[in-house]
Amino acid sequence: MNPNMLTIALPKGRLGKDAIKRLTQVGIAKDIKESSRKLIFEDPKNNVQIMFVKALDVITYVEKGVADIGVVGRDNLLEERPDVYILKDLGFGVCKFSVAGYEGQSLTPSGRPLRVATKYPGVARAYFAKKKQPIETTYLSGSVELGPLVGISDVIVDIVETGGTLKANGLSVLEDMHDVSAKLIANRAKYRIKNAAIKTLIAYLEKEETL
Amino acid sequence: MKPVIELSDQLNYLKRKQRLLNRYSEIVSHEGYVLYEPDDFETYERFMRINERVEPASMVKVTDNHGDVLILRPDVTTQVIDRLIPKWDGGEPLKLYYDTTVYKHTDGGIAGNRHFGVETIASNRESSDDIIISLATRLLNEGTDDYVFVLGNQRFLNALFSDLNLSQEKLGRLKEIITYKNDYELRRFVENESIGEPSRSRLLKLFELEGDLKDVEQASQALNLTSAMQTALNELRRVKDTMNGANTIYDLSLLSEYDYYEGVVFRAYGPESPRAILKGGRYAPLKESDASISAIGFSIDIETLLLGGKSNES
Repeated sequence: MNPNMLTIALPKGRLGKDAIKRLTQVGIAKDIKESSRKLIFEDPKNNVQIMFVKALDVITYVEKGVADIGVVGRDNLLEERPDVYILKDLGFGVCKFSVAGYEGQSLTPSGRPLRVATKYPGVARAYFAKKKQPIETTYLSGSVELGPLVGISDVIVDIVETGGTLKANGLSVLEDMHDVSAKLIANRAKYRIKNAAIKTLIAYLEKEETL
Repeated sequence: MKPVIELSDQLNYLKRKQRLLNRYSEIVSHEGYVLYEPDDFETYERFMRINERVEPASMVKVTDNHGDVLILRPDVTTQVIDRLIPKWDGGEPLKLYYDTTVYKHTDGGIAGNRHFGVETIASNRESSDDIIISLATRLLNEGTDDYVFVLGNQRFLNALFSDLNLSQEKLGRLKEIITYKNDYELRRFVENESIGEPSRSRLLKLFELEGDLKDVEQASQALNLTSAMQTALNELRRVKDTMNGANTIYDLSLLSEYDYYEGVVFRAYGPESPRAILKGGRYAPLKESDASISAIGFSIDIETLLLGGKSNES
């Protein structure tokens, strides 16, 4: 890694593809292929290097200062609550955090906690704590919709884009919790040390948005 | 098998750390500061009453044999506010320094960080601002060649907040947004709370009030600042002269997680450090104490500072 370059951590997958699209629109990282097996790319013309990592690891790399800035979904920020700056909403990766389950499922069962299956236990706990509703969370790393289907939970807490997967499994949104979209985050120290480069990048992105 | 860290490297690191701490003790003792030895534990409930916005999960909790919840000290300033300021007679400034470890929970377990800090309790706020900030840069210069010093003023934010008349919960949410520099959420907050002018413009432009002091002054001109906000800016102008040529950024949105700050606040960052190497500021005593007492201090995170270091050091 070149410490003199602005290091950007991008998530692999669709969010990363959208991020690359935005960067190339402003003339950065034009030769980068997200599908390549290479993990670090350099754009010497713009003095930028890009590293592709797993979505959750973007937060770790930025918080630890390995990457100066990064692109991450608000879902992961709400769950991890990292000590970073959240400088900009990027306008893509738009979806919602929702509570979903069988139509008519009560969110306040009497005499017991609400059973919630989720990939985001921190978000679920914080949301229901505000509503003074006791819950019991079960962590699932994927296919969360299975929770109510196999009876290990009453509801799920997950990000919902179109609701297609929920519908295909006989579930529906019972309550919307938070808006989710991609955010540009920065390490607090690097924001100060590489302030000019970070602000220039943000200015490019904002200029492009207004075109 | 070869060890990951050679013993000789480890010893060199320890020597370097010890040399720096000795030098720091020498400098501050010469300036009349007395070594303060803080207690290892604090009462959880009392600490949270003073520091409402500190993340409870970050604190290392233990119970004593009466079942009371204690925490391993997460900072030293709270103890100074809670235990020393109420005893101060208002005479000669109370000048203390400490060299101790503070604790918090992290993803990797319990982290103990060595902190070297100073605290001054006095009634003349302007002169002690200058002295402490000058001492902070002097100590930094002993440990590193390269850092950015960031200066803000909590008085500016307090004046801005007092005009908003928000509930405690909403004010807490606004402070969280500002701590993250989250411009998007700030805009949503201003819209949702239907905040009117001139507070609306002040909030929407808040993150632009950073850079060189001239830039900050220029950007703030259009914001119809109150006299309390102007006073906060004047305090920064006064401090500017004591910066000894340090690379300084002014940031009026700089906000600590600790609510006891009420005046000039500052941070320092190094190019090789993922977090602040120095944090400090002017803070108020507890509500029940004498309001004319004001205190200022800072702490240096020694291990974070040593990630960088002086170029001429072996």
